[in-house]
Amino acid sequence: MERAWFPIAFWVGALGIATALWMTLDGFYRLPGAADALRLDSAERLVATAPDPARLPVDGWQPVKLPDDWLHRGLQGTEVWYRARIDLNVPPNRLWAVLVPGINLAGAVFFNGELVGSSVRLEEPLPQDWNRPLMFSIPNGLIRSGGNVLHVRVLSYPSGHGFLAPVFLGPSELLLPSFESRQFLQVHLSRFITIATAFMSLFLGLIWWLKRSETVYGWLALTTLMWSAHSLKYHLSDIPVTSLQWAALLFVTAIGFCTAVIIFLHRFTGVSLPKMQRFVLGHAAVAVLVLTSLTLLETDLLYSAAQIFVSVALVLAGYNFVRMVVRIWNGRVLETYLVGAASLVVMVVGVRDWVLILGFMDRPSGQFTQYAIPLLLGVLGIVLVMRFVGALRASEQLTQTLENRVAAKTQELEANYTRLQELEREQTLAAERERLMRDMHDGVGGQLVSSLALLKAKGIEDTDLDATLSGALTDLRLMIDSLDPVDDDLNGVLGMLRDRMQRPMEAAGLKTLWQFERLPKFPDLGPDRVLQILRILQEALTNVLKHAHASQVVVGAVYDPERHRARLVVADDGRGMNGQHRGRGLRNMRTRAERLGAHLDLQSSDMGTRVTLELPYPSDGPGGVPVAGSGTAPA
Amino acid sequence: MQEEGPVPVMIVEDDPVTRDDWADKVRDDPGLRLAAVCAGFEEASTVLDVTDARVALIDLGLPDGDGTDLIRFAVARDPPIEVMVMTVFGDERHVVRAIEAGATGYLLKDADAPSVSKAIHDLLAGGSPISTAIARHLLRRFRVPEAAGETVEPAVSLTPREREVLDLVARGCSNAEIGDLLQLSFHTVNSHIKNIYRKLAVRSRSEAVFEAVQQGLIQIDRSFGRNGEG
Repeated sequence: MERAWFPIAFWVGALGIATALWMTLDGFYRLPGAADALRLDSAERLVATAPDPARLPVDGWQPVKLPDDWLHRGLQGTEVWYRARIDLNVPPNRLWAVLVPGINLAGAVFFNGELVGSSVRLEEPLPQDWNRPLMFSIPNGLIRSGGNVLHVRVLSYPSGHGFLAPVFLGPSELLLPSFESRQFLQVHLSRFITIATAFMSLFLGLIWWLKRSETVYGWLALTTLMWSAHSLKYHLSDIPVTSLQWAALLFVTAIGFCTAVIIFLHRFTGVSLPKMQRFVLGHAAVAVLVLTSLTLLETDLLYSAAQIFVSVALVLAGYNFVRMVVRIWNGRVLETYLVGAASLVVMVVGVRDWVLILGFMDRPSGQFTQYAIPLLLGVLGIVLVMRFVGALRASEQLTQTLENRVAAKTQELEANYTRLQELEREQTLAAERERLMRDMHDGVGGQLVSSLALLKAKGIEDTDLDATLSGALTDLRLMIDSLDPVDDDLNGVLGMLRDRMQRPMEAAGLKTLWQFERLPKFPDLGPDRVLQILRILQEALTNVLKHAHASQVVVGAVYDPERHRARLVVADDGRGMNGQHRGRGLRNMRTRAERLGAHLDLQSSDMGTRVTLELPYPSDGPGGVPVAGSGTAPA
Repeated sequence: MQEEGPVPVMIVEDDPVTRDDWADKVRDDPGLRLAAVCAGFEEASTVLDVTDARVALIDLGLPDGDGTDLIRFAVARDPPIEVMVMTVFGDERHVVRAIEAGATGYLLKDADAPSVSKAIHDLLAGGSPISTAIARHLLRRFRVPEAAGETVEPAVSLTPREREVLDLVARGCSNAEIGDLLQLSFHTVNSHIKNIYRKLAVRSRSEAVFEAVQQGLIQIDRSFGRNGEG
């Protein structure tokens, strides 16, 4: 593992913080200082049932130290009275009050026999005041100089669970900060946590509802919901149902919380433990069934049974939790540390509360699981949201990739379609050309040939007619040649010219030198260009044949790489032209050259005539690189 | 196969004026003898069975049949007749179709008598006329399947030399120039071209068989072995 020191450093640091937390928690819940109030650490106790101190028996009071936890004393019963004597030299000149920071489960405070305050109710359903401070003002004039008596009536449900923390007596404004601090932490903050976890549960549940396959959200939603319900016990005093039913609800939500968290952890870490899962779910089902039955039977057996079920659920949850944290240890770094840190806090707090409940610490120190569990739930929620966002991002990327691919494919398809269309067009053209050729071959062409034969057969010596007919035939052939696909090869075009013209030139006794350099490919050399080139050169050669009285003609082609053009030349050694003959032919050649975008140059003297066609290549065409200059064919 | 005396020549042409003109062209050469003159497909196919002609000049566009079928008859006959196709334009479409059917040359219909007799004698000496357009077409025909990675029998694929010859023809070189460039005799160049024509004919036949088998028109029976060769 790279950076192996980091996890170790993390855990060392985390343990340090946990220890500090443990120490700090002791002073977390504020109590009044010695200078501010009287702290009653000892009192007298009497197990008795009475509505007010006046009806209490005089005998049987036993001295006890506060805090007094009935569980530790093996004290049975649902009602216990405490009394303490307070001697004051002079009555106070400001408003005094009594602060009861810890009582289980509800109670009332009497001063000098007068009721100064109590829980909202003192009968079933008993108010749940175990986690809230009670503070009552003592009316003016009630405190006397000399001996005063404070009575505290404590009601417990179920029997034997009562508890009373040291009671404080002092000026109201000096007790108030402690009261308000505890009130805020134990009641308001707890209420806020209940509401917040309920919303979180709702939010997670919504995600799960929208995306059922992601059960991990559903299980965390259920876990959070269970805790939200269970956390009511910290701040809801005036319960709407009987104490037994309320207790049953808290037990069931506790078991539900443990069960849901186990399944969630399995989903979260991606493990499959079917046996464990079955056992946990089965246990929960049995627990709910048994606890519900006991509640309906209204028997206190519920408490003993619930202790067992809750213990089992807690052990299972703890075991699975440790196992899962170990499992994701080498997984995603941030997740591991977040979940690990939150788990550590839960464990520290959980152990501390457990120690407290077992009686090794004073109960007024208070419990903290209520803050640690939401912390863990929040962290898990954040991790899930992180995963969710990660998945979202990944899917966005995937979509993007997919879109790109679709776009590429569409383009490809379009290109294919265009090519197909082009091919179809070419095929149509080819078919049309085929039809035309057949028609011309069997029609005009055959007729021209047979006309020529007819002239000969009839012994008519008309050179002009013969030349005209032959010219028409040659013209037709050039047209047909130009329709032949030439693969952008200018040399092929020149070859056609040679095929057609060599015979008449030889027949006229003209020595012809064909000097064609190998020319680069001419992009998009279509039939029209081919025909124009063929016609211009044919016209030049025909002129030589008819008018030049030459003995030799050179037909050449070279490529000029600097100007990126082909230079096609027809040069004879005849007597030059005197202008009048060739007017029309020359005009035609120039017009054709213009259509080609080429330049036609004509130089004539009595030493001969030279026609040059400068044919520029398309400037952006790819075929501009000449293949080789060595392909000159000798004459 | 060298025989003494003038070469017997047969002409198949539907246009009477052209037909007579060609008959005259053959008669003009004492080295040639006019063996038969036919005006149509029916007539020619009957004559082909009995004629002693060594060379047949055939027009493709006959009113009562396809000239290429006549070429196939003539080539398959025993002894086979050398066929030249008569064409107005010497265009690739006509000539290549004829070569595929088995012709080994072509003549332009308005060719003069000397060129006709020269072409016939060249043909018998083992040479064939060719043009730029036809050479280009042949190069294309022989290139496509081989480029596609098919293994082609040597009998129907071009040798590098043949390819060189075709390439030069396609660029407008005459046979004499090709001979100079490749250090070959004029006759060797000519016979290369004739060979190329033969390969095209064999190739087109095997392609036709392949197509037919593909389309289920022919059932190949192993026991018939090598019947179709030749």
